[in-house]
Amino acid sequence: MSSLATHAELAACQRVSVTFGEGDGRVLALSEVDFALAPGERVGLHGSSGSGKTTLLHVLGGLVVPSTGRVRWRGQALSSLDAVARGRARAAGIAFVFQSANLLPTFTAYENVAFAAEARADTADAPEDAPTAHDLLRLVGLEPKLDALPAELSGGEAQRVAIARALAQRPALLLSDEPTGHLDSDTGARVLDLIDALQREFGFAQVTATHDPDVASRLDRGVGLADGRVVSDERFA
Amino acid sequence: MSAGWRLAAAGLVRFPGRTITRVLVLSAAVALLGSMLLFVGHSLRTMAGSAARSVALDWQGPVSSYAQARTVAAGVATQPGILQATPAATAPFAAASHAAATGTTDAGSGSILAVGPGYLAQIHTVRILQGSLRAGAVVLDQQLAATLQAHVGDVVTFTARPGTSPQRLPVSGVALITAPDLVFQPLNPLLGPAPAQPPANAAIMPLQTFATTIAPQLPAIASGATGASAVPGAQAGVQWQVQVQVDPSRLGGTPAQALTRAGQIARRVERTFPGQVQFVDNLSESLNTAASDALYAETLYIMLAVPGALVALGLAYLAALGTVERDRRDLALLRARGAARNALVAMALFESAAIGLVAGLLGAGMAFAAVSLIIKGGVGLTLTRALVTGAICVALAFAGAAVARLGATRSAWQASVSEGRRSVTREVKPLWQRLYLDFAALAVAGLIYWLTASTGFSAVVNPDSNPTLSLSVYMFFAPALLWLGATLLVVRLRGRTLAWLAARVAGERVSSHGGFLLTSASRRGPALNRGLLVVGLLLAFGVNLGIFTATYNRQASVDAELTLGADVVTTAPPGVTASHELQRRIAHVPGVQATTAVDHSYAYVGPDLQDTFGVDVATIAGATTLRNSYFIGASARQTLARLKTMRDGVLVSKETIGDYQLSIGNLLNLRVLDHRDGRFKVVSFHVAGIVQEFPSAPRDSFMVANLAYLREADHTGGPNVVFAKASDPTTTARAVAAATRADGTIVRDIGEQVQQTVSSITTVDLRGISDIEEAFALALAAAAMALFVALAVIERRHEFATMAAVGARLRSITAFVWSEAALVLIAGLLLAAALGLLLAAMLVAMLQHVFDPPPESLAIPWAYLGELAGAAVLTTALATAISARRLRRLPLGELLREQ
Repeated sequence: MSSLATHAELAACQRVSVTFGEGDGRVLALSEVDFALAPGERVGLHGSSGSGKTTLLHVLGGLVVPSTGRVRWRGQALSSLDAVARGRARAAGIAFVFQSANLLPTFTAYENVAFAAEARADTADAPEDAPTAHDLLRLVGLEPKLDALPAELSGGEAQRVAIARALAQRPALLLSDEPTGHLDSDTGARVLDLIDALQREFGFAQVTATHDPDVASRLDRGVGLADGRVVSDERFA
Repeated sequence: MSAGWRLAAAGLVRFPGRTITRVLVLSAAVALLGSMLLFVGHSLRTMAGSAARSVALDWQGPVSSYAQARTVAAGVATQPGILQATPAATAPFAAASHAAATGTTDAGSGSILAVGPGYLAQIHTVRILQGSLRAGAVVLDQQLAATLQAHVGDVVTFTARPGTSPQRLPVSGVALITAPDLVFQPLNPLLGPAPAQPPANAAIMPLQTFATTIAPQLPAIASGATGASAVPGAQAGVQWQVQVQVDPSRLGGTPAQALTRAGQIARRVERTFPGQVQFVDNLSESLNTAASDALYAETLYIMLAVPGALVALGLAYLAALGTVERDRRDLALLRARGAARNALVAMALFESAAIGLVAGLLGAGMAFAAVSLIIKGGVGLTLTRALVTGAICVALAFAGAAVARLGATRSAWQASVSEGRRSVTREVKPLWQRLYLDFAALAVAGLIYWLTASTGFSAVVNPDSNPTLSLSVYMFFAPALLWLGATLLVVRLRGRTLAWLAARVAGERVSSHGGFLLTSASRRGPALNRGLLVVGLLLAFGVNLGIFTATYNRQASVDAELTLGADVVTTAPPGVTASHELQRRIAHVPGVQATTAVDHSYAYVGPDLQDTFGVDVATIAGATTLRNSYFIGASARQTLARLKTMRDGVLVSKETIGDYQLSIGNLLNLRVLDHRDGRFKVVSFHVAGIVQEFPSAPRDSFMVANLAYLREADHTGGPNVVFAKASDPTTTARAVAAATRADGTIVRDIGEQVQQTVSSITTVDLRGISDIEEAFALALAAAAMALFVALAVIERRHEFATMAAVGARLRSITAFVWSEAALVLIAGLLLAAALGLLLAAMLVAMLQHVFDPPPESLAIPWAYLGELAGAAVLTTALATAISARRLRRLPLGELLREQ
């Protein structure tokens, strides 16, 4: 297990615990978790189902507020912000790729990406040279599917749109939750190759929840979770 | 089965908010229907009751002799369902006179009503004003008392016919014969009722007194013969009769049921006394008319209320949609457990039964409360009626809940979970669009409307007064097809309009926030459609109802003014108006703005007896409303000017002009009743104009002449009515009554007349039901908007969570809610304005013959329409604000975990 950051910190959790439900139905999803992430760092979260991987991703992205402990994002206490401010923080640098693509069903592929770009453009530090939705979809190889609705895309295509949408946010941190979980192995491999290539190009940090060893082996660091606790933290060569 | 039941119960308990919403929506829908049922039932019973009560004398059975009258009356009185049976007689007299200290006053011929002991207990043909009816004495009708200048205690002399010895009788009272047209009508049971012109002079005396004084001097009219000639007042002899009043409590129910029951009672009594008596049935005549009115009323209520109630049930569908996601999960669970489709249907039915039971009972309670609020004295709720209404409401609620539940979750039954999740797909034109059923329905509705308007056909009771509506199928088809066609057309147009807007605003590939909103909306066709349809149609229901009711009520006021004659109308005994200077005195009563005196009498055109009005052309236009539409070929001013220039001029009704092929300037000989001798004499008039309506004219056929010329002809002693225009008719009427009470006047005002007009058996009181329906329309339209917004948030929670995850601002996300709500609201208001106006215009056109006079334009109730729109706008704003708060607290992590 590693201590808190000894180098430049992008995001960090400090003694974070998360509980869901009340009474007999109360579930401890994370318990006293300490975790730090450097800019450009690529971390894999692994563990069995219910170990707290997704919850940790959501805590890092400000989707879930910890019951106790603190979450820092770029030195700012993310967990102390209200929902609107956390949303602004996400727009300015935290992107998600979910197990399901979670595309907006009323928008075409182009519009899904453009919507995220528009949200990014609406932030204080919006980049002036941001690639267009068209550029990003071309980058993920979906130029022919610009006007396709999500219902008309295959699982792999939808996930590539989700990746393009994440890139539209020009993220400093990409949080991926089993990004290949719903895909066959060939398609999954192509999606991972794409993420790797984009990471090299854009340099964002990456936290990927997975229990797939192939996915974990592509990353710089592996953090093991069990019953909501960090049980291992090792760096790969 | 038990698993389905448990799941249904668990689902209802687990989501109390949704369950309560569904119950409330359904209960509101069934409350609308329930209140309509209660109101219609109450109205019909009221109509039957008022029809029965309005008949002063139910049956008159002519018999041959005094002895037979007594025998038969005694027998009939013991029959079940008979309130009172009494022997009576009517007879003519040739002259009456009163010798006073100042000289002898004579009156012309008239009629005598002779009644048995206790006659006035249940039969209300006579109202005693002074004194009482005593043996050996006579009670004079108010008019005869005035003519003879006789008072209680005086002695008057009656001559039965020329040549007979006069009979001296003391005056024991003064009375008003309230139903002289029935009392003195010719009695022929085969022909039925034939109300006659009241005699100029009338008196009432005890039957025993009559039998020993007047009757012996006159022949008796044989039973079964026509008791009098066709000319009223020319009765040849004594008409012995049995007068009967039926127990109204034995009739009950609707007018049609009361009519049947009254007929049964009459036939049974006649069968019990075979060959002894047959009745002229005034009661059935009245109930027959009421039955016709009842059918018309039921039709009108249904046409106005049912569309709203049906659309309100559509709200239940919207409410049920809120549980679709849960239904899918339950479906998956049940399928995993090996449940068959029947079990799934059973679960929906169990759930619907539970919701239907609660919503039905709640709706019935709301209906009882709503109707009780608007009906003074309560709705007459009995245990049976309460149970029946409750059962109907529960059945309706169950049906509504089941249809909505099964309809909303149909996709869950038929499709897999993953298929069901694909909420947006490329739309394929449905069959009705490819067949252009919307245009076809509108075209057929328009065709029927055009045929109705061009042929003058409308929903009127057929000439035989049978309770059957002519061409009633057409009546339902036109508005029904308009509802259907307009609805389908809006569904077709909405998609295209939004797509066009999105393309125009956002370009081919949107990247602006406004473009995203429009694009999203344009691809949520089914969701917007159902919102637009329910909201738009409920608002259209409200608009249609409001405009039609406002027009109907306005016409009721116009009708009332036309029926009464003016704001305040004072009726005085003959001669009193002139001799006591009533017109001048009334003109000085505070609040009176203008007055005119009118002589209301009768004259014969050929064999037709018609109301005749002698008017003062100089003052009548100021004291009452004379619309140009009342006259044909010239304006009101022009027609009156012409009448003024022709001293013997007469304005003749359109019917008479047609029947007698008259034209302006033609000579018209009328037989006018000369009140000096009670005989009709021929008087020459010249046609000065054509009139189709005139204040206080009760029938279509009437005449209007110059007051002075008419007075010279009929010697009535001047006008007997004073019309007054008043700023506050009710208060002014009270003041006029107080000022003229000593003159024996009867004062009525327009407010009182409006009440009578809208509650009489010949018109339908729409105000009660329309108040209920308007309130429901407001509440339901508001609820529809709130439900639409709430449903949009429920359905799109996952989308909104995704938007939040990619960093969209909360206000940007909320904009997806309010923009769709605004779109639906605006489209709904436009739809409601157009469709509601069209429907109201169509209904008014189809029912134009109900109005007298027909409406010249629709009345727009701006205040109510403003409330309707305001309620929808306000609810939308509130629901959107509440949604924004909910969006702020969306459990993003939980939602985005859902796969």
